[in-house]
Formats: sequence, C-alpha cells, structure tokens
Amino acid sequence: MFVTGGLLTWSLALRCYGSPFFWAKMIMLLLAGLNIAIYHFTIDRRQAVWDEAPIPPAQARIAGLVSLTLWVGIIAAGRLMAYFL
Amino acid sequence: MWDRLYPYFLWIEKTPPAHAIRESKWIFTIAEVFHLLGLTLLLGTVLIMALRLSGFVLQRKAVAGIARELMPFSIGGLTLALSTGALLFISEATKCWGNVAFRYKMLFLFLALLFQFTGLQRITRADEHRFPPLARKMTALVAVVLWFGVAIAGRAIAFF
Repeated sequence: MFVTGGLLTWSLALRCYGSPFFWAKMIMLLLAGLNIAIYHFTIDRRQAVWDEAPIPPAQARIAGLVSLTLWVGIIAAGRLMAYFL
Repeated sequence: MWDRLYPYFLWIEKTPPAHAIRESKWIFTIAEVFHLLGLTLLLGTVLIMALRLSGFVLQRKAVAGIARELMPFSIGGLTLALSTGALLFISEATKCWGNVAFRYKMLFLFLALLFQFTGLQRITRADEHRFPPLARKMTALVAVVLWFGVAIAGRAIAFF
C-alpha cells in the first residue's frame, strides 16, 4: 500500500498537496503508526500477564479502538479525496 | 438478455429515492465511503478465512470456530456493501447498464455469493480432516479470486 500509494501521490503530487482530505489522511496514518508504537512499547511489553484474559486491560482495548477508528477514517478520507482533489 | 433489462433500469432511476440521491450533494459520497468500509470488512474476513484454509495463520484454531466468529463481520460487511451499493446503483442505473465493468462486477458478485454459501461454507463447516489440504486451498483461492474480482471490476466502473 505504501508503494502503490506512493506512486499515486507522486503522479498527482500538487493536487494532493491542495486537498484537505489528503492531509487528513496523512495525519491519521501518522497517528495510527504512533498508536501502534505506543502500544508496543507499553502494554504489549506486559502481554504475557494478560494474554489469556478474555478481556484485555483498558490500555490495550483503547489502542484497539483508536486503531479501528483511525483506519476507518483513513479509508473515508482516501475516498473523499477523489471529490476534493 | 441484458437489453431487455434496460426499461427496468430506466424505471428505477426515475423513482423518487433515486432522484433524491442525485439531487443531494452528500448522499452519494457518504454511501461510497460506507460501501468501501463494508467491502474492507467483508474482504478482510474472506482473506483471513482463506489464509487459515491454506494453513498460513491461526493453525491451532479450528476452521469451524474461526468461521463462526468471523460470520457476523462477513454478514455485517456484506449487508453494508449491498445496501449502500443499491443506493449508488439506483441513482445512476442506466449508466451502470451501459458500463461493461458493472456487468462483470454483477457476474462476479453473483458467483462469489453463490460460492460463499455453497462450496466455501461446506468446507468451513466440515470436520478438519474431511477434505484434503489441496481441496481446502483451492476453495480458499476461488473465494478470494471471486470476491476480489468484484472489487476490481467495481473499481473499474469509474474507468469506463
């Protein structure tokens, strides 16, 4: 996706630059990356403790929810770019 | 046969809801976004199932169990994609009628739905050792090809 997305952006770089949805998408991508990094360096370190629990601790659930929300937003912003490019 | 459907396509395009979608600035766009979300949900579950049947992921979990847990997400994604797809379709039915990619999409959709609830369901609900690995892999491959055929043909509608 980074490769094909990179090519698509490259071909229409200036129009992407002017699209608010493009920037919204990029920011959400960045936040999604940040979210998974935070997860890995904190609660995931103690995964062995809660691995078998039917419901993971709040911090892990929040990470999951944030991830879901951001990726839904990324899909939506990506689609909306076509209208406001 | 497709020619004979034209009057119906024309009729549905002239119904008040179809008109309302065309008039609105947002309904079509929002429907497209939810169409994509439904599609990602559905294709995601199809891919997980296919990877499991091919032996790449979740090897220690029974196929039937995974199928049961994924079912609400497959059905949810499918329902979302079909309902929003219907909205998109009625607003420009005659345009779809004349679009070759749309015809292929409908063909793939029909085959994918048929296969999902026949061949694939038989494999995923069967006992682990009832079918040989090759049969399971082939079933997974057919399901993936059919569903991604729907997606690719759908994307191609915009190019014709």
